[in-house]
Amino acid sequence: MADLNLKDLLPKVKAPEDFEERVLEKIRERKKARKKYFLIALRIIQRPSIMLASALMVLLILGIIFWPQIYNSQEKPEKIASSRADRFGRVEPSILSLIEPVDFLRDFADSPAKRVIYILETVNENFIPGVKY
Amino acid sequence: MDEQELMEQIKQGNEMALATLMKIYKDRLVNFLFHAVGDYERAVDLAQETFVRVYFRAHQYRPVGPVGAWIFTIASNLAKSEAKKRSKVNFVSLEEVTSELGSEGVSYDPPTTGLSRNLEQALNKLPAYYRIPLLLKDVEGFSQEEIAQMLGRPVGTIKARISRARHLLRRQLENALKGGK
Repeated sequence: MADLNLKDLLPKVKAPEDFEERVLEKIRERKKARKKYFLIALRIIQRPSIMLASALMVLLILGIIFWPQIYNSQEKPEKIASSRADRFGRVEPSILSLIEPVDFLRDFADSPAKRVIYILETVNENFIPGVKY
Repeated sequence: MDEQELMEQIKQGNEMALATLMKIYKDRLVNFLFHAVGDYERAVDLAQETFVRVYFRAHQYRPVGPVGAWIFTIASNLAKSEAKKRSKVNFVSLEEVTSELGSEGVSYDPPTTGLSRNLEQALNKLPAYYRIPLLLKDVEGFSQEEIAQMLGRPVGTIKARISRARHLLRRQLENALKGGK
């Protein structure tokens, strides 16, 4: 606006006489208010119930943050089994029938020498071809 | 003591240093805010709030630019917020009007000359995003680069806004002159 000089044409206003005093007064008021709020906050924080609640809140937050790590570090037995199964090839959980012909007289004759104790339990009086484990 | 030294003193909580800084800038600031918000009492309040912020945020000041530009940045932000508030709520209660009429110590006399009055009215009709850069440029004499930094906008945007503001102002003045004839 080359032909219109805003600086000269616009009316000029001045600050009131007590401008500085009012600003300094506002600053003092605000300082007081800040101090007051700080003390109120401090008193609230120092209350036992608030402290307890805060501590529980902190524990809860820590629990939420660290729970997945703790959970993953404690591997479940099923997980271990499945990981082993994975290692040796996938095995479907089932009952396997095994035929194990055992000659008691021969196979267990030297057991006292081996210092091995076999605890045997009769599961069937009759001969069965499959042994269930 | 120069302005940078005054700022260092204010950082340490020296109220006398702030009073000295206020003496330098208070009239310019009140004048700028008056034209930015169009209300003398509100302009004085905002100017006072500006200096309160200068005092409490002195630690944020970095001596890379002039102190004046920093003070006007705070004032411009306050003026923008005020304009936003006014655009949302645009009514005045009757009690306020009565109290304003009866208030004393107002150091503002409305302009009597036609052109000044028309110019003031035209300026008040401009949106804040045109008015504030225009005032900073044409009344306060800041450069476009400084204004861009103060308002946090690209220089191109500021140039465009100042140009558009001048165009709108000229058009409104022409309309006022046509209407007056």
